[in-house]
Amino acid sequence: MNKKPRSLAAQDRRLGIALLMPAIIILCAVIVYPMVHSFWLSTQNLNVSNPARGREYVGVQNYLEVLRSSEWWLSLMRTLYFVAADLLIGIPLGLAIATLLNKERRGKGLILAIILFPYVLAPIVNSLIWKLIYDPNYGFLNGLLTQVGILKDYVPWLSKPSLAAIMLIIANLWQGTPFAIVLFLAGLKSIPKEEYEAAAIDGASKLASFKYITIPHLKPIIYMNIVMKTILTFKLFDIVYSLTGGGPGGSTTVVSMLIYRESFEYMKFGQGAAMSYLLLLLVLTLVVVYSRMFKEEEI
Amino acid sequence: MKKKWHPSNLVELFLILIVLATILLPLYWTLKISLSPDKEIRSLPMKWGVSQLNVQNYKEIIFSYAKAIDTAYTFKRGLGNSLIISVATTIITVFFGSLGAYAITRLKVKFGNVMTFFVLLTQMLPPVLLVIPLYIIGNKVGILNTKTLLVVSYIALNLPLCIWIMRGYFKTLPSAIEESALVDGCGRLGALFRIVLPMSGPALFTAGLFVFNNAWNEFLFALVFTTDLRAKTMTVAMAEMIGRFRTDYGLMATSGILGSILPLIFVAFFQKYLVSGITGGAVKQ
Repeated sequence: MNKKPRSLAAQDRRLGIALLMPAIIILCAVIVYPMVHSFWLSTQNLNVSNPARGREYVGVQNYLEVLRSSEWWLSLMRTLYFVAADLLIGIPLGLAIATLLNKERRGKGLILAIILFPYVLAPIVNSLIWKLIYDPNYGFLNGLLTQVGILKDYVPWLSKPSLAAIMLIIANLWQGTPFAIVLFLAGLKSIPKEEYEAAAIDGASKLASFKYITIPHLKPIIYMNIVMKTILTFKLFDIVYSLTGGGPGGSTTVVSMLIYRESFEYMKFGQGAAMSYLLLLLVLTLVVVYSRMFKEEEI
Repeated sequence: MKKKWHPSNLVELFLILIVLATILLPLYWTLKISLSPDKEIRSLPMKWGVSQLNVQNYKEIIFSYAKAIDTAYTFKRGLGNSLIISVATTIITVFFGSLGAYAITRLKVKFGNVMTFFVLLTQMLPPVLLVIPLYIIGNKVGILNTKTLLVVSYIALNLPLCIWIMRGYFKTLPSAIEESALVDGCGRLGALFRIVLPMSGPALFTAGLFVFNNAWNEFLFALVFTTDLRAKTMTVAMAEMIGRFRTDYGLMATSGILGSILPLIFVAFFQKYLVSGITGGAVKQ
């Protein structure tokens, strides 16, 4: 022990950097570098149809082309439809179910486990399940609705442009809501019971204490849910790709579906990269706007 | 406090049953189709039960062997590939993730904020942004359609989350125990491997659970990077079945069940860890 404490700290530091090195290298190779590469691609015209011409620098032309195409805006509108449904239905539903479950009950652990089932499944399994339910001839939904007497004729759920998006939203909510429920349950647990008791003594109704105690306490969780759901739904791809492939008639071609097709069916990597960056920009903007909204309300 | 039956209790119970039914019926339906005799899958009117248990579909996948084009065999190989890829990803990610988290919490490397940034970045990035360049590079280097490319990608996608979980846990460990080990002549690395990591079982397990499940369920990277049985994963094989115009529903449902066994085991036995992983990240943000 003849080393000075200062050099020990320096040693610690050197060891720390060495321990972090593998993580840094992998993150640079698989996330940072590809991001730069994608940006570079988005400024190139790759001339896929005429490879002999090679690639050329075109500046922001890819971005302008994307912004001028009606396909981009249409797919963006469809994505926003999905996001809106997820926020306006998914979050209140998650909160409602969490409130319902927030009580000591026999079998609470089992109920929670069942609630978590959809959350851990692969989105592709989610597609598979709903493909079997929505099948126009032998699916569960048509069978159930005719047996109950709501439907007379079988409905081809996924091949009607007006219905397909709604059906995907239902499947997406089935898988996505458990996450919200778990978050809300944790939030509800952290609210001190005394506040409700005090409110009850003061003669506040259940609705009033929900509004003035529960909701304010849950604000951070609501914020968290809005951010996560927005991010996830903008990335929605797996179930669209496998259930409808973006159809019928393009009615479910959401942004990530469009980007996938441009990039890997038409091999227009430049366009695909430009679209991805526009999408990232949009999501970032939304997240910043949300955080401003929630901060302002607190003041 | 009354402990009597109230009408409102009955309403609550009813609502809970509806929630549970909404979750369980789709799963039940898939299980039912997978166990139905072929004729019953395509017969009307719809039946709720199975007249006779039929495990033919399960046998067909489990005992399938290489044929020219065979859905069952493709899926079986996909399951194997997914298992190898997920296990490799989990071990490497949790190992490097713990090292990194230890460096950030105990060794005065000011990297915590960068890692937080990466956690948010990997969440927000449209995955295609990474898939396009990795596809081009993979093509050039000749590692497209290998498990390696997928493992490397999944490690990067999950490392920030893993470091995040481990860091949260290391912070709660008292550093006094480590310091006494240091005084006893055990180096930093010795303290990490002999004292800190053995004490971090629950966090290592939580991180591993999330990483494994993410890798097991991933689709887009696998879809773009793999083309044949060498590396095709379970999700890609499943999507091929779903997308086919004429699909053997019995076989498809069976593949869905087989592909969900592991995740369902995770919930059934390790629910606590999952919940702590979900809410742990939320509370800290």
